[in-house]
Amino acid sequence: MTTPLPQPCKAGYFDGQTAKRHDITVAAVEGAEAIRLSFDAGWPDQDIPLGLLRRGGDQPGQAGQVMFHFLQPGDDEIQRDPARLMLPNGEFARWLQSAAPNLGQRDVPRKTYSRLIKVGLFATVSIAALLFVIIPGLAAILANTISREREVAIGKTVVGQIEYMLAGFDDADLTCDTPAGSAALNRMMTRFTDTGKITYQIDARVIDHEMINAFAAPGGQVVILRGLLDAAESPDEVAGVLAHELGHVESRDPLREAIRSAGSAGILSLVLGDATGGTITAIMAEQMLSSAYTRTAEEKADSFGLDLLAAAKISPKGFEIFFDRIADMGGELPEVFSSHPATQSRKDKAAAAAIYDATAALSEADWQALKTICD
Amino acid sequence: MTDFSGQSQTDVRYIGTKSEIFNLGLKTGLLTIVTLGIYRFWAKTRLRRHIWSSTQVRGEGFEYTGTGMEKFLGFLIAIVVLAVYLAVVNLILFALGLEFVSEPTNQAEMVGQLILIYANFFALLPLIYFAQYRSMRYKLARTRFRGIRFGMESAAGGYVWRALLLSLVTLISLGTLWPLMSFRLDKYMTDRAYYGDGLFEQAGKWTALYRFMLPFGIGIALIVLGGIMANATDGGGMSVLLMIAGGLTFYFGLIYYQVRTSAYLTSNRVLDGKIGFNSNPSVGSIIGIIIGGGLVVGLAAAVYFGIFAGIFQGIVGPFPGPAMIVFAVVAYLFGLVLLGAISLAMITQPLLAHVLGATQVLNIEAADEIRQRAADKGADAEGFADALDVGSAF
Repeated sequence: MTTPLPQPCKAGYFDGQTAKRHDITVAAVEGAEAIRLSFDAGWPDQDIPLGLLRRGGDQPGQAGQVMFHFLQPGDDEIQRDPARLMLPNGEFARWLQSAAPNLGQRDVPRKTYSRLIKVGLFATVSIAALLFVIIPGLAAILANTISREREVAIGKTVVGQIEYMLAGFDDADLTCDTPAGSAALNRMMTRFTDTGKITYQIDARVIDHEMINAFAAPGGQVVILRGLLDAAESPDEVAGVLAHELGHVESRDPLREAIRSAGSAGILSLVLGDATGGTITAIMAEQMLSSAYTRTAEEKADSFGLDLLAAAKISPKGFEIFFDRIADMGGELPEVFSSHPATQSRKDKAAAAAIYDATAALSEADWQALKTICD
Repeated sequence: MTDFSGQSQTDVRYIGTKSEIFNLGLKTGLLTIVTLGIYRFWAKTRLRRHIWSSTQVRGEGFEYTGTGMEKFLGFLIAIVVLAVYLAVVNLILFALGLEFVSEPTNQAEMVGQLILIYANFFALLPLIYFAQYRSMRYKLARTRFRGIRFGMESAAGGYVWRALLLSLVTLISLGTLWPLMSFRLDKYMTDRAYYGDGLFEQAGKWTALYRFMLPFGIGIALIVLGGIMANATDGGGMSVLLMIAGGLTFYFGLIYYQVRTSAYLTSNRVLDGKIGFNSNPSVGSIIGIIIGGGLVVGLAAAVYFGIFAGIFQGIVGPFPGPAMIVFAVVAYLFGLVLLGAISLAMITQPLLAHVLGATQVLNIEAADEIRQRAADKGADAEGFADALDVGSAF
């Protein structure tokens, strides 16, 4: 041992059986890597190996005494009644802090880790089942029971939340509205609604944001972000995107998604602990923006979109071209493009477009008006 | 009641410092962010260990022996129960709620929404009371003084129905029976608490708490008076002044009630029929700490989030890419951790030092005769309390 041994010192001792303090003298045992407790009451001396000593609780800087306890091999700490050693905050205590090797060790009761694994698995499986099976299932059932008026109300809230988030958590009104631009958008919508395939009252609008994206909210609200108009090179491309989103509207996908994310958000906030309302709202809106519906839902929306385009006599090729261009730009694809690249059946359907006489989705003047709707 | 005149009086001391608790709060808070929240159970454990050890009687500190691991395990179990419970409750509410909101008028829709919110809260209320009792029991089971363990009987069920009943009584009586609730619930817990083999006992009368309601009552009276005047005279400065004065009196009256009630209950607690307590904190000092500390925290929040908003506005470009969102979230969470640590140092620490410093133990010599109690096997960690965020700070 290199450091000199300290002088024996007066200390206190609690035996773990009563709350009475016993006066003792504690001394370092020469060469034995242990300390010896000598009791004033005349009990036999007790030697404690340094390796078994543990710090008791915390040690605030201003504490006059330092508490130690020592390990007794056996059951876990909670069940045991270890004795406590109270050393004055002085030379002996300082020596002990450097000489005892395992002071800070936290002794874990046996079977803790196997229990952790069991409980952890149980919790993970239960929560996962809730998030990915039960809640989506319930959301699908609930979505069927909701009236259309209620669905429209939910949709308005969702669009409001997304607008709020896109504005950088500010109450600014981002909806773009020029007379010519809105008229052009309406004319495109009319081509779709005139087919008789749309049962919802569609409320389409453009929001002034650079993201290349479009989404459908519950109840027939369709939102196009300005970035998508900027990136599109023909009205057919925009029409293709809209037709796909209208497919989601008709099969009530956004409503199911809104209910599902409302249910999931509560559970997620439970798991993550911190539950500030703002973050939950943001997470929900974020999910809506990047939401990938199930593969089946996407295929259904696609197929509906193609039928709609055919009925409205708009070429389905715009969507294909648009998709390829966006994919070449790299980065993460927004939901509208997520179910692609095109499957063979989709290509077949698109090829059938030659059978009908497609006309441009908008006249050149209307297309220019729509592209400048946010100016 | 035991007479303690002529017996020894020993001051309780809180020796933790602002810098210690700030550093601890910051360090454990950062670890909590890095581990996506999982470390919070260990963070709470370390904070408690610091506070317990800093609370000293005759130079001997309390000891907190709880572990982060047991809290984490308790939480994992509680969360599943809670998630299933909430899912079921909300499914039922959603089905019922649909009836409310499909009513044609807007008024009815609003009522429906309100019912939905309150129903959710009331569905959780029994669990919250359950968590309160279990959390207290767990904390006592993991507290030692002089090597001797505290404990509490396993009786959460009795606490839940009493608490629900007393809440209802308080609500129906428009708050005038609040002292009954404060007293009975505290007595229920105290009378079941042990230090070693020594049983605690809550003496005193619930009617004694009424005098602590006076400032609080005056606040309400002022607000009502201001409201009546505003209605009678179509506004006017006097009624506004009355309402503001009433609001402040109401708020500080609430603090006054809580501080004095807690001091009264402590002063009327007896351990093992032999050991008494005395508590006399100054309400003025406590309000001073809350206002002063609150100003510091508020100022820090304004500065930090002011800078944060400035930077964030500056760098958000056309594509708010994932990197930017991660940066914003991390900066936001770091701000919350920093403010949490500041409020620990500027509010929690001074409050603990003041309240504990104003407490005395009477006839502590009798503690020498107290013997160890058997371990409470069922006192597992406070899973529900953690999941429901009961008992917030520590």
